[in-house]
Amino acid sequence: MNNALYNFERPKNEPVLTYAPGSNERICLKDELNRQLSQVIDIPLIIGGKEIRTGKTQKVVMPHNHSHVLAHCHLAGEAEVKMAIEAALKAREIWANFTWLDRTIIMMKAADLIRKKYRPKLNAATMLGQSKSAHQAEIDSACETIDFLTFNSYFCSKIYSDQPLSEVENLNMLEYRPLEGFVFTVSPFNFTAIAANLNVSPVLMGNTVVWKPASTALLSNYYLMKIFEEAGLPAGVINFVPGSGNLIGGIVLEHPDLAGIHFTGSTGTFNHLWRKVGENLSKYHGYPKMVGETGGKDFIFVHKTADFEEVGTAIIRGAFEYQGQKCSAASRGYIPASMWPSLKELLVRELSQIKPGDPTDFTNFMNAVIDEASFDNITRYIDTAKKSNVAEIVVGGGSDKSVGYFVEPTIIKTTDPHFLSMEEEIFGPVFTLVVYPDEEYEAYLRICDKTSPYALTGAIFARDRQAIIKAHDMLRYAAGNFYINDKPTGAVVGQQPFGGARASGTNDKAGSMLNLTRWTSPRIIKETFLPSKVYYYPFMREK
Amino acid sequence: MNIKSIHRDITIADLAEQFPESVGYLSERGIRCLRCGEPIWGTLAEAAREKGFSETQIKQIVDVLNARSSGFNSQGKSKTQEK
Repeated sequence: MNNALYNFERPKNEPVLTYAPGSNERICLKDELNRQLSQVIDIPLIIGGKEIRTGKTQKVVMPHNHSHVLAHCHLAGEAEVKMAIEAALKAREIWANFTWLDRTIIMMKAADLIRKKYRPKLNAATMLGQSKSAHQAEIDSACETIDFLTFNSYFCSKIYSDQPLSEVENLNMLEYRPLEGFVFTVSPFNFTAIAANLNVSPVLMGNTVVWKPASTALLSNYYLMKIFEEAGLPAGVINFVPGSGNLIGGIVLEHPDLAGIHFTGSTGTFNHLWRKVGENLSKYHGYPKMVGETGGKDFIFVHKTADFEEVGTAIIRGAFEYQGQKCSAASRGYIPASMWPSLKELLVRELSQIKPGDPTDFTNFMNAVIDEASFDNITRYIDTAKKSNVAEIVVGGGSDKSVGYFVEPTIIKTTDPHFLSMEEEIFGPVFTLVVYPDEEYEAYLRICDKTSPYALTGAIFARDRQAIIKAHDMLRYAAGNFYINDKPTGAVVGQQPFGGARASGTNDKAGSMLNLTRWTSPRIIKETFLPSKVYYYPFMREK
Repeated sequence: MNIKSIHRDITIADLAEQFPESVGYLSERGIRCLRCGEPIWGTLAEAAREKGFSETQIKQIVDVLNARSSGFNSQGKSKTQEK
């Protein structure tokens, strides 16, 4: 048994590679893209360390060229879901008794595998399977994934070292037990790193998981699973179970050993999970811990003293990078009337030049939205604006799904601050703004706060410090990640822990200790050295 | 001929896949089937109940969706467009 009391140093964030012309990383990535484009792989389920092929498969296609098949993925049926739960419970017997140091070493090794060996592979899979540009893939599947692995290991070491006071005659110890059962993880399509974190966070704290990956991120998620295995993760600690959410969830949520759910996705699905857990409460051995990061209707609020060029850049990057499919993407704006003419000119000029295209063409700033259902959903909002008499399309509005699911970066201007696309999450490259009279700053801050049920991210742009303070205070609960003079996207692990409240989730801050502590069931242990042999106290004596 | 029909216990995922034209109709009534780029989990009836629809209203919604879908094929294209 390793008896070292190892002390992790606070890690540094993984440097973002540039992929500039001539760089080694660009050459490696292009080679890997060509390799993945030239093959069609078979993706099995991985349960208890075994690859399982059910024969019921779905195609894994590229959103930017939906006729191109990258893989065929096997899908779980009822038997495989039950098998995955059993595998997780069996593996728990071993994994829960690993030292935390052994668990962190596996995660640190996985980070190093991505850093040095699989960076091009994971990035290429994310680019092709989820239609991300080289830069967007690099900051997600490489850097953020590595950061989650290394920072969570560090946070884990801090948690275990946090112990209560002891007296001279006794010792108090806080044992951070894993939850009593298995954890169900449900990951979204938009970040490979989130898929990593949803699993790694409970696993580091000694739990085992049944993982349902998004059906539109299977290629990168499969490679991620293989990296965990290569890093030495024991069989059954993470069980990779692609398939129907309704089928998998239906079985998992009925199981008495369900101990927790770690979820990123829509508010609607999280509400469904929560409701089912409530209905099944009497069946469980304990109260399952629910951790969810859900939707957002993220805002950029601009004061008249802000710089319009800084605002323009924040809107373009914050609303349209990765086609607006980040939970944190800016999707509504409040612009002072005095700034609108210059800002409008800038946005129209710049956005008219941006055409979404294939991510293997590195000159493309934007790529495709994830699938046809999303495409149809997004264009429905654009069509509503086109038909409305209180809204107009300022720039963009076009779309084409003949080859890939391409939607132009679109800005809608409305006179109604409660217009449909000011309130509802679209999850696409659509930014709706309202132009307000400069002198009604506070009134519109109040509107911003109350417009949407969500409270994930938001940004204020101003030079006037009093205006910043006003927004800071009035929008206190409007966002869990609040940015001053910066776009509302791009949270970095260890720097801006991520999550929001209201309808945006449980705000358990991915990328921080706060999240990891949710996956423990602490036990306090008091040991007394010389127990008392008499029951009475000194005050009971007469003399 | 469209032999499949919509019922109250159809999952939203199946509804979005087999009857994509239903998504827009439901969205206009506040029942958002697609969020965060994916169909929400659960059934049509559950999603409608969450938005405050009564059992009678849910039945009406199912009837309307079936009536509308009879004019479409399962890929969401109208039969006249198909011709």
